[in-house]
Amino acid sequence: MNKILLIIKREFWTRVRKPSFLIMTILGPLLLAGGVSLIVFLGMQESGEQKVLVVDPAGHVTDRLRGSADVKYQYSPLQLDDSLFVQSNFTLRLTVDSNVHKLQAVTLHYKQPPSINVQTTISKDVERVIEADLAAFNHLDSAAYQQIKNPITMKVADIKQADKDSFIEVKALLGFGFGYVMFFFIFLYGVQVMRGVMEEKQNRVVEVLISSVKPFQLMMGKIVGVALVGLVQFLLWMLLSFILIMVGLAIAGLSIDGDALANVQMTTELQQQMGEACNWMRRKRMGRRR
Amino acid sequence: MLELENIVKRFGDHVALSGVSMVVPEGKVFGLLGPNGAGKTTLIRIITRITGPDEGIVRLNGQPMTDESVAQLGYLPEERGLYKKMKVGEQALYLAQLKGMPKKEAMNRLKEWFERWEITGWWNKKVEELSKGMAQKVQFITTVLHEPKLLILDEPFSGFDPINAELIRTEILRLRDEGATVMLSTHNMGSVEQLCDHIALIDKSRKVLDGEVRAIRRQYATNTYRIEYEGTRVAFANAMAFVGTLVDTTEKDGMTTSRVQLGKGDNLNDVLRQVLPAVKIHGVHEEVPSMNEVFIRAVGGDNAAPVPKDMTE
Repeated sequence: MNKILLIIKREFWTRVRKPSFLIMTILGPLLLAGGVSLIVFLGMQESGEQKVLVVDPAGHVTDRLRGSADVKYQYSPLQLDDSLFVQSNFTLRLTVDSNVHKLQAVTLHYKQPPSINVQTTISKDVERVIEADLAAFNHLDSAAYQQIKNPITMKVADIKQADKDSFIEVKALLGFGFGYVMFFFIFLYGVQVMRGVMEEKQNRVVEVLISSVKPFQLMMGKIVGVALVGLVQFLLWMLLSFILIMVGLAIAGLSIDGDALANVQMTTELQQQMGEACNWMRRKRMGRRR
Repeated sequence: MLELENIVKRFGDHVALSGVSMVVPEGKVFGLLGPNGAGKTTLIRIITRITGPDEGIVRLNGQPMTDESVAQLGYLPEERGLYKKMKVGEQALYLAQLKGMPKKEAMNRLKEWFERWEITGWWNKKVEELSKGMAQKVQFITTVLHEPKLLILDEPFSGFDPINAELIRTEILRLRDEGATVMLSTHNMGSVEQLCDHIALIDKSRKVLDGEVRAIRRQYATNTYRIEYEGTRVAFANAMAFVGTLVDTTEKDGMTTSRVQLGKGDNLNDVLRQVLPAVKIHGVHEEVPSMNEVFIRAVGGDNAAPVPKDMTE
């Protein structure tokens, strides 16, 4: 037992004292925060007003697409040549086939890739029109069809706290996140154990060690030592991330209204956003199932 | 001290050791000899429990070896190795503690050794900064620091310059005098004669020789004597006429040396009695084969290359 402790101590300290450990510990949260903000930034970024040329020879959607503040449609029954489109001041070209009701597909050409938001707006607009057409064709009332189409919202609540939101989906999302982190850690530190064994074999230290301790003690010490390194690194990451987020939120909160309560508002907003994200995922899932 | 009984080890179809038995007596230096690939290192690895024998048993002080009793050993492997990135002092301390030494005691003894060998400056260096010979010195210290009862050294002199080899030789003898039993494998026959009390010779996975160094050398003696005298070789040859055979004669600085081989039943006294009136004798030496010669004859058998004369005593 004493020998295992000795081995653990050595494995732990040689790894923690390496410069790479320090660098990874500091860079980890920065990279993580940077990555997350980059994704959020890219997702939220709007490419400005989009002028969409709708090529609709059969006139199925002409003057019926709703559009938004950022998406403006202009309709044409004639196809516009690619070279002319590139020269024109239209940013996007939507081609609606005359057989669109059967195909249930349209094509969007771009000069600069449009944001997800813009893509969703356009596809929703087309979907709405085509759905209305198909409903009429099948002698369905459009309003009735919308009602049928709506997904059922199931409220999940804890019996002991029935009035409170249970955030069950947030929990599921967190579970998924931690599962991913776990996988990542097992992989990363498993490799470290393997490299430790390789180092001893290559250096031939292992012969000296095996004539001092049992192989089980050596392996156990190594595994526990590396695990402790992982745990310490993880805790440091948590701590640093927490500080980083706090600092970030404080700066953001202060710059908006200087109100100390801003922090609290931000967190509730965050929760709401996560809830919405979950709903969106669920809808997507259900849509796929259908 | 250490007993090996009928050790057999196979690697696939290859038999590395077939039925090797030997006894390493306590408080002696025991030489494990043999040509390359004979199975010396395999045998040592079995003793240190790095690998297990297919058959046979290893006993330490009459008890079968266990994982616990391994801590009583000090083992210097042939392929030396230390953690390259670790500091010398830290590493030596770690290895000593793994052998079960308390930290304080290990520290004191290490300081003693480092001061004795005048290498205190290495304490905070990383092993990768040391030369090969320097690292080997550190490894030797880590091997013997816990004062093991049984010291197993695989080629302890390889990689050392003559001065450091002498240093190691002195330390081995000192450790023996302090009560340790030393088992060493080496190709350096000169050091075998200087160091070993007993030897065992392994060839082609079998033990071919075993015993006290002096007895073995005597066993291989060819009953040849070297006689130094003043006088002519013709007078000498004529005088010894019927006893023994004259092998060769050399002359140097007015002194003549003849080598005489005696047959069975011949007596050196008879030879001397016959040549005494003819020449003035200055000295008589028996030619005992060196370990080098014994090695070559034992291993090479009939195909052995002739032994150079200057190898003899």
